[in-house]
Amino acid sequence: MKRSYLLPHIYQRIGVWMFIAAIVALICYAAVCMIIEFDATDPDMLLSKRGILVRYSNLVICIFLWISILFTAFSRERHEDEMIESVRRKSVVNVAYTVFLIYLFIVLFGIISDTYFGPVPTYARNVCLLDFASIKDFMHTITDPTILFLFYEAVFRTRLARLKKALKNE
Amino acid sequence: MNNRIRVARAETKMTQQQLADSACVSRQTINAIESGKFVPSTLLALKIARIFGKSVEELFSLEEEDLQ
Repeated sequence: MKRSYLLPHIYQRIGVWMFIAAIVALICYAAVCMIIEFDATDPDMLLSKRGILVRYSNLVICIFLWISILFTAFSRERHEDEMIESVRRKSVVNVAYTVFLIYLFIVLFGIISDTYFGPVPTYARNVCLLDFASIKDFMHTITDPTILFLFYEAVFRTRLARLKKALKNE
Repeated sequence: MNNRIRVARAETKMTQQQLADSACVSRQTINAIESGKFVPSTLLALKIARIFGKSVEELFSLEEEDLQ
């Protein structure tokens, strides 16, 4: 019997609903932070009861979000067969390739601009968003599991939709 | 790659759904194979050939561009 590493199809629906709930919770969390004027740089606020509650709420929402994306990305389609598996494999390769190229480009650009062009003139600094500190932030962002899984899901769904559209037109 | 699955289905009066059910794949996959948008695995090709009682070579053939 062929083993599958994917979760049953029902998890996809559970994941979608969990994702919607997590996004709603995130919006509510952001609204609450604005209302109470939560300042993450203020040590007194971070250590207060309110601050601890806010930080743990953020963590719970993030975990909920990650699990929902995991369920959605790694569950079987209703009719999972070799064609869907082929699309899935190509999507993973596409995502890995794209992210790696972006990563490489950003690092090389950062190194070259830092090494050969020296300090960036003020007028250029205002225009150029890629100073070394923001490069590291950007690299951290694009390699975040949430972003990677979302990117994979977007590529996979797009490929599947294009294939279905092409078959409909036949 | 060319295939004669549509012809074989017509000869046996089989629908895409019936072929898909017999081969344990989705109807979309059969449609994609017939329209040349998807190349089946060896296993699937052998299954389809067995369903029609033909050899794989009778159902699938290479094109010139496949040989390059």
